[in-house]
Amino acid sequence: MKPLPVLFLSGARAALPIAAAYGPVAFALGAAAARIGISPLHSALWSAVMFSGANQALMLSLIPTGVPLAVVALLCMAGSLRHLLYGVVLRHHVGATGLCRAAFGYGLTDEVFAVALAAVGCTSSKLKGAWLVGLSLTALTAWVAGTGLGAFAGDGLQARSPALQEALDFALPALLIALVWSAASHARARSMGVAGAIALGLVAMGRSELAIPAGAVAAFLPAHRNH
Amino acid sequence: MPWLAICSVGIATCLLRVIPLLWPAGRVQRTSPRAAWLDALGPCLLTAMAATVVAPAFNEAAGHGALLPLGFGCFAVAGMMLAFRDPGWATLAGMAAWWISAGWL
Repeated sequence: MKPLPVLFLSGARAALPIAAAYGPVAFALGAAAARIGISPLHSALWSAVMFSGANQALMLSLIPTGVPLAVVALLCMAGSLRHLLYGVVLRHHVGATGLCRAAFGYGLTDEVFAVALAAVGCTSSKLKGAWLVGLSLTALTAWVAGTGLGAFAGDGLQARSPALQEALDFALPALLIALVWSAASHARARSMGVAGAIALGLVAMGRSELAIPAGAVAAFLPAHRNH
Repeated sequence: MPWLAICSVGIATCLLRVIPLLWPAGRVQRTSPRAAWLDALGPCLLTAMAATVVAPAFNEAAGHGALLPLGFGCFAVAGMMLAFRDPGWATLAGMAAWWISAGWL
């Protein structure tokens, strides 16, 4: 049995690829938040409370459109429903106290889930609490620091270079294109295509505030299956 | 900052992540099938969200004569996703491609 600090550091080391991936996304979100007047401290706090790139991007895209905050919150919660499944999958592979499970669960993002699931495949024993906390806490720290830094540096950089300001404005579209690419699969192509078409139609009609909730209806289309 | 909405979403997300991990053994079926709509909901929301953000960005770029930097940016995002499937680096590459091409063109 390894000592707890060693297990914690081992989990932190396993999170380094996640931290590297989070850096630019968190920076982009922080820079985009700064563009609508959110301070670096508030950006970092926002990331610490929510710790969800997709929900934060959703919130950032909806706030300027004037959608009621209750609708924004409900949409974010609907988008978080998948996290329920991560816990269901991992719970049988976790050998930890309730406190460690809760601490790990707070940081159970898509990427943390993927790394934890990969670790399950590499060991015959259950994942240790200190390792899991090291994993999720490192990812959370990278996310919070990246967002705060993005809001801070984004602000300063914008004043110096208009071209850089435009590039930072492109951060949110680039992030969303990449996230859609990442989520796309053959089975989901039809529902995602319909969701995009509905949303684009509503944006073209000047009803952006309805585009995302209306696009979500496409989730109820039957998935394409190969026979 | 809409802190009430942020805290509500934060608490809801935390509960959704933590509750299954704390649920006593035997209450959750390991083999329970995933609801297809639940599986598709996140990607559909993401796609609709992207449409609401990307379409105005295209309009704005066309208005400012910045379609080429936008094109290079999208191309860089697609290229990085094809090569590494990493949204973080793809975002950074898209921003860099926009910045470099806007400086040159």
